[in-house]
Formats: sequence, structure tokens, C-alpha cells
Amino acid sequence: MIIQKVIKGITGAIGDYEAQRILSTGIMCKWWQRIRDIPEDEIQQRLTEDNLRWHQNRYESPDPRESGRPFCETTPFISTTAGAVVPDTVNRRNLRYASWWTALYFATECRKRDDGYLFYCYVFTLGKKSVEHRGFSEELRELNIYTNYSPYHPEGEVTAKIIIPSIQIERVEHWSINKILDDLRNGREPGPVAPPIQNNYYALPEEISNIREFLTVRS
Amino acid sequence: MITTRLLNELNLDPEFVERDLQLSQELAEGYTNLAFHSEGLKAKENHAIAASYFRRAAADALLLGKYGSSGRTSSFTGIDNAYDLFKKTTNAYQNSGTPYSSFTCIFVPQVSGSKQFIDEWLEQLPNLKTDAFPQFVYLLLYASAMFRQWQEIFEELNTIRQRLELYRIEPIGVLGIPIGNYLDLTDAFTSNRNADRVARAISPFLSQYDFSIRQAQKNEYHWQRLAMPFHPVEPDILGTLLFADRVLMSMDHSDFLLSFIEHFPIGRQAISLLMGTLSDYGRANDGHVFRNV
Repeated sequence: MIIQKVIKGITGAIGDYEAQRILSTGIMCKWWQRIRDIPEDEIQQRLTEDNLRWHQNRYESPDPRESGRPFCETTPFISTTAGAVVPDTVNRRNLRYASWWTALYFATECRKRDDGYLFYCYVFTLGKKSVEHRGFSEELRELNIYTNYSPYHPEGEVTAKIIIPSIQIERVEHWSINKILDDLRNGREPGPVAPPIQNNYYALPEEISNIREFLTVRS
Repeated sequence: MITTRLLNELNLDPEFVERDLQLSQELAEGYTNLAFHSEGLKAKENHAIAASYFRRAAADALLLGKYGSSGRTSSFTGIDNAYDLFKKTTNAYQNSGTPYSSFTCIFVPQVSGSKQFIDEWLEQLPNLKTDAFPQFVYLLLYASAMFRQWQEIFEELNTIRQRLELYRIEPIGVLGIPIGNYLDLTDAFTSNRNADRVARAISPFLSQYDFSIRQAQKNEYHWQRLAMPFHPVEPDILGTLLFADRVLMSMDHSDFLLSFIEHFPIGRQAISLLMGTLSDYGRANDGHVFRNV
């Protein structure tokens, strides 16, 4: 088992209060958010490889099994990013984007709105497929496990299931694209709008071995 | 030209692309500024990040038909056109110490064909990290397209060519095209230049491009947000075709490439994207490419 650090981006529309609340409730999948009380016996039915593929490739498409409701409204999965190393080096890809930027890009819909919240978490992975096990996340970025070619691979997706519990969320940061640009114009490394909000419930993973950091462009 | 109709068919929103262009350009300029406020490796890293964003912005500009030309300056809106952005891309890769700059300069006619440009790279070779070596395939491509007698002019490149053979099956670039395909292309550029051989050598690039476009489109959520490592008008492919065109022009086959692409067995949308971009970008840039279109 590996402890993988990941980042989850959520739109700035939720506001500080909700962001802080998520620190204590955990990050729930869209399915849970929609129906509020998920039936335990349905969880296993939904954690399937088919649904994982829907989540990966048909995220907004109407799902005939849910009366045409977009799959994203009923997904039991939670997309996070950890950055990715393709089989060659970053240098050979000619592109350098950090995992925090990928998370913010999605959270802001490419600046449709200016701000987003980045939740810094860790999840557990097995190094192989474990779709039906809710406790373990899927490393869609890992080409040795998911060998199908995916043009989206360098997003570095690690897919969590049902909920990322509060205990695994270290902090949340509020980021603004305008602030990032302002920092860069002034010769500063980009930083969040305000100091991070730490989670009091967070349990340090350092006592458990095999920790892998999320990637930054300088890693 | 890539029309709004084609963008609609491709399920791409011009407003989104415009937003992505603006954001990418602003980030690129920001990281360039940050690079000038940092030193050593950190400065190079920041130039590399800037280069990635300039490259993306340039591709966005191509997609929107903002071609620009070598003779004109940027618009008053503060948003550059593809020509200016590729120029900045090349500078940024150059500053980051990445031989990929010798690839992107094919989009900027004035800097093409410089012997000094190759010599400067060859001087840097001993200082480069080992894992950066495969990037020299781009310099080889540049030299073989620009100088028919490159093997005699740049002796050191022969050694590089031999060493790159060891990396033949390794993928390079955002589409993961094997280095061997680039080597085949440089060989086609070099020995007994022949249009059919060049055509055969660009075929894997066209096929991979078509495959990637079709795969990416199946994921509407990501496709519409351009959230993929490559671009619908991917510079790695367009640049390769521009190099090929340059060689074909030297053989008086100026209209060969467009005709070849038009009849190549790939999807209509891939063909429209490539032809629309290549012909008009070339036309806007003083007949640099496809002057007979």
C-alpha cells in the first residue's frame, strides 16, 4: 500500500465557510452530495470498472441508467490530481505544469471564475486496480496499471471513491488567478490569497511508510 | 482557414479558446518575468514553464485564425498572434536551454536556417544533463531540413545521429511519437531527397495525430476544456509538416504536402484542422510555406 499525496480543486463559488466545513466533513463524491444519504448496499453496485470509465471518459454525458442524468451528478468517484511522470522525463515532454495548476484550472474552468480552493490530501493506493475497494484510490495516471492510451494521462489523475475523509485532508488554500498573475508580474513565486486553513482533524501520514509526494514542476 | 463552423463541428467553444489564449499568454509573460528575477536552474525552470504557456497560447491563436505575420506587429488588444507567440516560445525554450527551440523556430521564418544557431547548441552539448540528450533529435531535424549537406557542415551531428539510434523506440513529445520516426524523417530529408520518401516518413505523424484527436474527442468534458497535453492544432505535428514542406519546396514540390494530407486516410476533421492552419499560417507569413496554395 502506498500513501499518495494529492490535490483536489473545488470552485471558489463555495466560499470560505463551506471550504472550512469540508475540512471537517471530508470531500464527498457528487453522488453523496446529491442524495445526502447514500444507501450502503448501493455503494458496491456503483464501484465498478464501467463506472470508472464513465467517470474518466464520459463525465458529463447523459447516463441512460440514471434516466439520462449526466453521469457527473451520480458519480461515486472523486477526481484528484497528483501530477504525472510520463515514461520519459518531464524535459522530453516539452511541457511543464504543476499539479496545483491542474487542480486550479479545473476549479476555475480556465478562469471562467477567478478563484478556487485547493484541498491538500492523501489517499491510499495499492499499485494495482482495486475499483471495488472503496478505501483505495485508482491511479489512472499510472500507465503500468491502466495500460490503455489516454490523451489525458499527464493530468495525473488519482481517483478517490465515495469520500476523502477529513482525517486525510491536511489543509485548504484559496487561490486566485489574478493574484497569481500579480505575483508573477512582481517577480514573486505564486502563492494563495491568504494563509492556508489547517485541518485540526488531520492525521499525519509520516508515521506510515511509503509516502509519495505530489509532483511539482521542480520535483 | 479554421472556421467557426469547423470549431462548432469539433465541439470547441471559440470563447473558451480565447480565454485560454489570454490566460496562457499572461502566465507565460508572468513566468518570463519571474525567470528574470531568479537565477541558475530556477531561472531555467521558469523559462521552461513560460515556454510551455507561450506554446499553448500560440496554438490557441492558430485555432482562432489569429495568424499574424512576420511583417506586422501585435494587435492593440495586448493579445499576440500566433507568429509573435511562436517567436516568444522559441526564445523561452532557448533561454531554458532546451533544444526543442530548434523545432519551434520553424514557425518563425526569420530565425530559420542559421548555421550559428546550430553551432551554439553543439557548444552546449557537453554541459547538458544526460536525460536532455534525446531532445537533440529536434536539432537534427532542424539541421537536416535547413542544410542539405548537414553531415559535412556539422560533423558533430553525425555522432549525435548515431547515438540517437539507441533511443529509437523511446517516445518523445506530447504525442509520444517514437524518436525513430523523427530519425526516419531526417534520413528522408538527407539522402537523395525524394518526395515519396518524405511522404512515407511523415505518415506516422499524421496517423498519430488523427488517433489522438479522435481519442481525445471521445472525452467531451476534457476536450471542450482543452484539458489535454496536446492541442487540437498540435505544434509538434504542424512543425514537423512545416519542416517537411521546407524540404519539399527545395525539390520544387511546393504543393505536394497539402495534396498528400488531403488524400491521407485519416479523419476529415484532422485533415481540415491541418490544412486550414498550415495553408493560412503560411500565407500570412510571406509565403514561408505553401506559397502556391
